[in-house]
Amino acid sequence: MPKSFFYFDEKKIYFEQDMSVAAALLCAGVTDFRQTQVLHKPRGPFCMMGACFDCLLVIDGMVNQQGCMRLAKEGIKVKRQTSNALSEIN
Amino acid sequence: MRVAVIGAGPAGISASLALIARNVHVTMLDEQPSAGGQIYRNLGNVSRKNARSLGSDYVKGQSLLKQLEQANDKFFLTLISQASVWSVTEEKEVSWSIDNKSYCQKFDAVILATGSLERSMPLDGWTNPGVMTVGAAQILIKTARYSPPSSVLVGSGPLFYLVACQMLEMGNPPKALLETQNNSDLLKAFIHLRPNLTSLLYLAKGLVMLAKLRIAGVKRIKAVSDVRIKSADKAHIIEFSKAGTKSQIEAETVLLHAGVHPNIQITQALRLKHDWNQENQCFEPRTDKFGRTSLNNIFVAGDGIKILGADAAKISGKCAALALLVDNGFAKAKADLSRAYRVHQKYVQIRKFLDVLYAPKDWYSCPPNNIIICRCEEVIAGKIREAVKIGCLGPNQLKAYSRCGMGNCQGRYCGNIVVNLISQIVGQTPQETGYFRIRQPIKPVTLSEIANFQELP
Repeated sequence: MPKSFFYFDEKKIYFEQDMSVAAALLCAGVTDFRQTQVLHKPRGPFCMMGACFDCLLVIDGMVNQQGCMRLAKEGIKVKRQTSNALSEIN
Repeated sequence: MRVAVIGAGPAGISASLALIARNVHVTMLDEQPSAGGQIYRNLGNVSRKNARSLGSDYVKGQSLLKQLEQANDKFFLTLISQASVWSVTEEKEVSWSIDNKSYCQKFDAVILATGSLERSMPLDGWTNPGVMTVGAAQILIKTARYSPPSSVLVGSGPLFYLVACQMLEMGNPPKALLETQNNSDLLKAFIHLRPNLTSLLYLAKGLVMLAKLRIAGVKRIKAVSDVRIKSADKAHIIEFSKAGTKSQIEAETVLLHAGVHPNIQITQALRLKHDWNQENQCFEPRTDKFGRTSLNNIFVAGDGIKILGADAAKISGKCAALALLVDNGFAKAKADLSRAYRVHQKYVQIRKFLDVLYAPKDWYSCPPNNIIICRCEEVIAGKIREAVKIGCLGPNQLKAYSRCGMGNCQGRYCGNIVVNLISQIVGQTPQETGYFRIRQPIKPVTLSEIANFQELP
């Protein structure tokens, strides 16, 4: 059976069952999930249990989605969240 | 009667089981895809072999999960997974969000079993990508069978060594353990060791873990302080001091752990009284010994009251459920309640030993001025100190001065540090300083979500 994948920006990310989007990205070696709001620095997952909000991503056009709380699904479109992601989308 | 149990870890599950055994309707709301909490995370989905490789304390959860599964087929239990509870009111109205859609239901009673959070260890570079908590690494191991490569662990505590051993079992031993406790902590702790069976078994478990790490040749460096992480691309250089000498070590992943403290987001939002635990450097909700709060029919259970671990949480959940039953006219539950409470006390005794041995270091709560304290709003310690010096009176005014605690995590990772920082400068106790005023929604939800509550399924 072919492995499932989703796109993170242009990159194909393969995942297995029960993996969150954040876990799939970390397994693929991606640690930089977003640009911070104030200092525009790179930031990635910290707690992996939904408490720290550091793994925020743009998923299927929705900003501020917690990567660690969303199960990876075939075909979702995941993007690194930039500091001005909100204004870009609205 | 309909009860909401928030959180499906050991406390939440055993509370629910005790209630449905007496034909009380229970709705369990849990944030993760499957029940078990962080301790038994994903246990229902991993193979027996993989579960065993993570240790007997993980496998042990299977009986609890099995009982829950059997109960879930029956009439009295509704388990709702992937539900982020964002509001619990005094009137027992509970609101939650699933996949960006919200639901609201009124209950007759609520048991809060929301567990713990890892204590913050603010240091230079702790916000860099590739720097995570030890708990985060464990979640990766449990849900993705992925152990982050070339890891250095910084900190101390039971979970610290457990995860180091689990990484070992995964065939990916940590590169080194930089341990913050020292030998004098051990001496101080030994005075509190009680020679009873539960304590000795616990101690033996720890010694076995340390022996495993030693046999595998994992480098352990004790009594480190002044840790700084310099990151470039995917490589980190960790600088640290030991006995006045500076050293450094390279890593691909840095994992921090400074113990855990109760997750008080909902109890604070409910305006319950909280007490500062000086030894554990955190606020704990004020409850009676069974988990009753000052609000009628609202209970807290497990590590959400006080950190005592999974076995104690299981019994604490049962206590809260039985106390709820007693309060609502099930007089027969009274005998069970006192029996359960006696069992619970067994787990309290080893805690003092662990609390002293792995006591949070003073430097966790008085970081240099250039260190980020509020990860969300990127507020540094210097800015907080400056605000207090020009007249900021407490954590709530600090929000207006600096936005500290106003980001998405709503103070979960800076709250206790902020309380400490302010108390140090003003010269008062953390109890006097108080905590952030936490408001509902305790998780960010969009306005359109609140405006479009969904029908209950």
